[in-house]
This record gives sequence, C-alpha cells and structure tokens, in this order.
Amino acid sequence: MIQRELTYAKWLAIVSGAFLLFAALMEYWPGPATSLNWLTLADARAEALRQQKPIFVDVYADWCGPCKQMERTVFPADSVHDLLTGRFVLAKVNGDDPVIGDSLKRQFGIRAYPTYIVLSPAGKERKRRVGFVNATSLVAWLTDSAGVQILSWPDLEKAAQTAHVLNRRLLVLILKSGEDIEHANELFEGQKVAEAVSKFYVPTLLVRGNSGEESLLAKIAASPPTEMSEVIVLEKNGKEVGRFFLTPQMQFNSFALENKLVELAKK
Amino acid sequence: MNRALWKLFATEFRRLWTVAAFFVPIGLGVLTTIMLVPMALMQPVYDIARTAAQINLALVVPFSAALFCGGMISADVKEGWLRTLLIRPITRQQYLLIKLAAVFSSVFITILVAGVVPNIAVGVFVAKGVVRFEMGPTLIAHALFLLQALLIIGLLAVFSCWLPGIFNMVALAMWYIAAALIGSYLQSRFWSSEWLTLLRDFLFPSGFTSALEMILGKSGTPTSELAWGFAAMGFAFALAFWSITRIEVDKSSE
Repeated sequence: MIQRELTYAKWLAIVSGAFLLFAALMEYWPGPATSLNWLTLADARAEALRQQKPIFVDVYADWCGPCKQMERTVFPADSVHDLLTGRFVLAKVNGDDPVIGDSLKRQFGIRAYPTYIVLSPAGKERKRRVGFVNATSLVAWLTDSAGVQILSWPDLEKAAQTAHVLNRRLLVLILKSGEDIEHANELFEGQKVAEAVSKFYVPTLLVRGNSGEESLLAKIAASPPTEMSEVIVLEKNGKEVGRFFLTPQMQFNSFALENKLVELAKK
Repeated sequence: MNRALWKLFATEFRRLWTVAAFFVPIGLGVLTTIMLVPMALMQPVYDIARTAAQINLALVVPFSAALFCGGMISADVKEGWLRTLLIRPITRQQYLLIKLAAVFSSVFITILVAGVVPNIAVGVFVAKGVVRFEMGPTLIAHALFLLQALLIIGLLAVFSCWLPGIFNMVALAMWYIAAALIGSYLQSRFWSSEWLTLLRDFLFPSGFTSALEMILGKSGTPTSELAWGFAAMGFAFALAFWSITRIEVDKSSE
C-alpha cells in the first residue's frame, strides 16, 4: 500500500521555494550606486595622462554576482574609497558591451568577471587581479606595486641604447598579460637569477595587450601568443641569440632559469 | 516526540553503529591527521577555521555522510524492516524523520571525532608556526559543515528511496564529479555567457560551501548563498519525504 501523506514534503517545498525566490532576488537586485567617479576607458586614459595618475579599470558584467558584491561591500569601504579616489583615475567597462567590451576583452585577454587592471598613466598594464577580493586584500594589492622590480626595467628603446653603451645583450621578457607580472617578478627577484640578469644583460619588459607594444613585439619577432611567457635574448645590434618560454617548472626550480640565462649569455 | 519514536531513534542509531561503522570515524580521523601534520609543520600560520574547512568539506563530511547513508532506505525495504515498522503506529514520514535524525547524529559524531579533535590536537601539539584561532569564524564554519552534511544526507535519502545500496553513493559521486567537470569547462570556455554561468550554480548545490568561502575570505555576509543552500536542502528533503510515500513495501524480499 502506498501511503500518500505529503504534509512534510509540501511544507518543505513551499519553504524552499521561498528561500529560492529570496536568493534569486538578492542575487539580481541591483547594487547601490557608489560615489566613485567612474569614467569610460577613453576618458580615463586622457585624464590619467593629464593628471599623471595610474588608471584602475573595473571590467564587469551586469549579471555577475561577485561584481555586485564588490559594488555593495568593497568599493564603499573607507580604505578602498579613499585609495581609489586619491591615487587612481577610475574606469569601468561593461565586458558585455558589444563594441568597447569586446575589444577590451580581446586586447587584454580578459577571461573572467570581475577583472581589475592597473594601467600606468601611459596606458601600459601594470598588474591585474581576477574575481572577488575583500577590502583589506584589495588595499594591500593596490599599494604594494613599489616592490615589483621588473616594472622598473627600462622600455625597449631605452634598454637597447643602454645595451649598446654597456656592450651587453638585451633580455626581453614578454608576458602574456599583466596577470603574470607578479609571478614573473618572483622568478626574476630570486638572488641568483637577479645576479645573472644584472651581470650579463640589460632587461626590458613587454606585456601583450598593451597598446603600442604590438609593433615592438612584431619587431623582435615574438612567438605567437601562448599560455606561457617568453624570454628573447638579443645582441646589442638586435640579432637574436636565443629564446625560451618560462615553463611552470621554473616556478619551482629557479636553477633552470638561471642556467638558461647563463647559457644564453655565453652562447 | 513520543516514547515510541524515541525508542525507534535509539534502535535506528544502534543499527547504524555496527562494528564496521566504528572504523568510519577512526579511519577518517587517521586520514585527517595524516593530512594535517605536514600542513602544521610547513605552514607559517596554522588557521584552525581554514584547515577545518579543508579537511571537513573535502573528506569528513562527504565520506561520513555517504558511508552512513548508503542504502539507508533501500536496505530497510529489502530486509523487510520498513514493512515491520509500518505495521506499528508509525507513519512513513515519521520513519524517515527518525532515520534522518539517527544518520545526522552519527555524522555529527564522526565530524567531531575525525574533523574537530585532530584539527585542534594538531594545532596545539604539532604546529610549528603561529596558530590562529578565531572563535566566530570557526563556529560558523562548523555550523556550515553540519548544514552541508544535512544537504548530502537529504540527497542520499532521495537516491536511497529509488536506488539499491551502493548505487546511491555512486550516483552522488558521479553527480559531484560531473558537476565539477562541466562547471570548470563552462568557466573556461563560456565564462562570458550569462545563462551558462547561471546554469553553473545549478549543477550541484553549493550554497553552503560558497557561504563558507565568503566567511573565511572575510568577503561580507553571505545572505544569498545561505538562502541558496537552504533552498537546495529543503528541496532535497521535500523530495525525500515525497519519495518515501512512493515505496512499495510489499515488493520487499520478506
């Protein structure tokens, strides 16, 4: 005999439906407007050049839950609000925008929402972070850029001139995006690797996606974009000595990178 | 709850704790200790709440729930135990409620023995670095483990009404693995699609685990995540209470 007592099932289903409705409303309810002065990326570039301030770019989507959570809880926090308004020109880009969003996603290789990118006043990518980040971590991440050694490397033209004067080879580090800056910095900050670089080379950094750097990448015949960053060593006259990729193994074994740098220096 | 139901609870609880069942908390406790010791020796900061989340969500909660719930209804039907019970003044829903309470108590004991005790012991006696213990997040994390355990118990109860023995554990494991694979595929290939991203949230109920991530990451109040979790848990139990009324006890082997 099949008992047909559905009292518990009915009540549980009704209560669960209410929870589901509440969760959906919470998820899709628009967040409060923040008092931050968000500009379009084009306006922010112009403003950053004028004020000589870096640009903080927020790439978001209207339907993205973590983006709304950032709007609701992180950007209004005093520490974040003060830092963003004081030190940066702010730009907000809707990644779903068929014109601006699509071109930005292609240019910077955006792969998730939200993505936060810091650009130099000249528009070069300096660092990026993907996903929700709490206020304390965001402030720490935005303020520790002074310690990123590879960002102080001279640009390609200046490095080429210095290499000529010092009679050294040129080391060009090509990152697939600004997301890799901190990883690459950890590698090149290691004592032995840093010694090898300063002893044999004049280093320079290129980041794929930075406007104006496409022509430089073509000039040095950089390999097509891959998941790995690339190192190209050039003679002071621009002739290629050798090239290699920064493999994941090098993250764990810095001797491999050091050996490769010494090998190419003596080639 | 009347005396007969208390008696049924005691009986169901005793039936769960066979000699083999004692190896569940002991075995899981040994495994968690083996996992925790290297972490305690190598990490500069041993965070009790974070390590609790790592071991309980990945190991203790799913395994203890699966081992105690595997075939919890189907075995009773097959052995004729459900038929015997229903001759007495006990409804199917009361039977399921008591069964769920007995399983949850067993899982609770296992979490305590295999998840909480080794974590604290390793933190106190083994950790080389700083031991971080924050009462609030740790208590909230453990409450969320229990809710996650209830959710898994609810899902397994539904399966157990329709699938025999081991198959409901296999079904849950396959669902979990398939959801993780499809989720990571959608994340990597269709991350900018609104509807496919929304679908990802429905592949496997993850409200309580998302809420836990938010609390441990100090990322605000996880209101909607908790609501998703309670909705999923409620629907699982609603389905279980509906499913129990559909079992044909006369088809048992008795």
